Amino acid sequence: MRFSQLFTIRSGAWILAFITPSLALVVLISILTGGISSSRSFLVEANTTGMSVQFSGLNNAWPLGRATICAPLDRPKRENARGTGPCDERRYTPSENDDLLLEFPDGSSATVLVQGNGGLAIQVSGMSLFGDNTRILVARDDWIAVGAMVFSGQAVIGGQMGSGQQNILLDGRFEVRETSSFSLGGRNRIEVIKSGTLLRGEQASISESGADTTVTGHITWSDNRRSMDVVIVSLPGNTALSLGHIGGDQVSSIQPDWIDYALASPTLVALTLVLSICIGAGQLFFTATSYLRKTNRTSETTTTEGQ
Amino acid sequence: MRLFIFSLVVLCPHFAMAQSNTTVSLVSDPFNEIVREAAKISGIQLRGLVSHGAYTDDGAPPQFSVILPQSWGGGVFCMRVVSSDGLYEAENTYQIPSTWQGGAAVLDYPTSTPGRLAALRPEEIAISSANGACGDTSGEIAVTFWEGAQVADSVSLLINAFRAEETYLYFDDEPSIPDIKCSVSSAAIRASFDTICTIPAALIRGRPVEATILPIKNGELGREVSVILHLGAAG
Repeated sequence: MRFSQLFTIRSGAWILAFITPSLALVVLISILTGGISSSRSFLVEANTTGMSVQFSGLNNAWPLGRATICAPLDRPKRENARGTGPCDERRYTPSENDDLLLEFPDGSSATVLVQGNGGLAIQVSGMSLFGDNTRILVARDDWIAVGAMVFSGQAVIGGQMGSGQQNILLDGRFEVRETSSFSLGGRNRIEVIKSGTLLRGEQASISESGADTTVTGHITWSDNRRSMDVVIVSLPGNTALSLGHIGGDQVSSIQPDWIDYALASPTLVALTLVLSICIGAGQLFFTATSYLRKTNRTSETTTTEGQ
Repeated sequence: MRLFIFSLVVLCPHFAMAQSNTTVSLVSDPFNEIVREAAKISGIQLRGLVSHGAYTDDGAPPQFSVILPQSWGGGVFCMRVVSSDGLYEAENTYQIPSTWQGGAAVLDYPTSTPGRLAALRPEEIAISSANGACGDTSGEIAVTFWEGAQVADSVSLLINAFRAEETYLYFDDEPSIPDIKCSVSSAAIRASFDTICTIPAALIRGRPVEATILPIKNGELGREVSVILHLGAAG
């Protein structure tokens, strides 16, 4: 009875002695590969007064409904009067449109700014239908009636800070999400590897190998009449968040590394927990084995002495 | 003692220059330059009228020269150098001899950071040489050359348009010259100036011209600002 007991405990100990270093190796490998993983997505959520997008793909259309189109003149007419309309008539020719659908071709761009009256001013370039620097004005009520404006392309939230800047990121946050290498139970686990906040006045964009990368996102109105809410999500890749600050001599790039991965990955935390249980159990088994072996030896000696 | 001899060797040529009657001399003492770690943004709109030579990052001290009109003779002018990121600024007054005949003058520029200046790319530096003492300039500005021949081929007017969408430059007294649409600076950090206007070649080396700057911001025409540009030795 005692021998079979000892055998079971001993084999358990051996199994654990094998499992523990293997598990440690798995944790180490996943930390290292997590650090150099190239399939992460950045999510940025910001409250901003403006942003600019260079559209890519053929699926960018905003049904704006009622809008005022300010088409630029060849040259400003300085000697003329401004006029009382929404556009400065020394620079633009205004026209009203009751059912405007803005279809952005691949490569065209738009700068969207929230105006003082809560409406939108969209300045477009690279479109065949409108000349470059055409301003499209949408009243706030019309904008709310339109709903969300979705885009795909290279997006920059906020402008480079400087006196007079009107394109200002007011507040925001970012997350880096990654699919875990361990799909336990057949499901893909999405993990937040790194997160943080964006400060007022920063300029945020998502880049890949130094250049702005394609993101998808949407623009919606904010409860604050002077701003809009923007969410952008990057496609999976070796992406980084580029942040421009005032006083900085270059754009800072935020990219998670193995330290973030080791600290934040729930899978790793779970693995580390399992590993520590294994180590604890192993320790217990080895102590039990050596104790039983000792007791066994003592009883054998006692028996021999008894004979 | 060694320091004393060194000071004599360094300072003597400066005193000698100050005494001279035919060369432009540096008045500011000490030489006023600020190299800071954080950007400061000035409210001045006009930041420079510059002709850049070829860009060479050789670390050698930069050479500045300015075409000073004869009419400025006997007075002082203020030379202001700012980097686009606002981290380098220098503002110094120079004396022009009363016998000045008009022409190019090489400026004494004893910078403490020649390497840093030499590393600035043409779009990253603005230099203005304006008539009058620093803080009391008259709105007349002369073209300054940086690291180049003193014959201007291209001259740029650098301004801080405070993030205007568009900026136009008009020469109302020169009907043959079309108005100029300025471009946004290509510098990575645009803290001290953000717009560059290219002066038409026909005006270079000519008589002084009045230029009117018109910024357009948020779709609205802004306030016009006029400045007199000295693009040659005349005037």
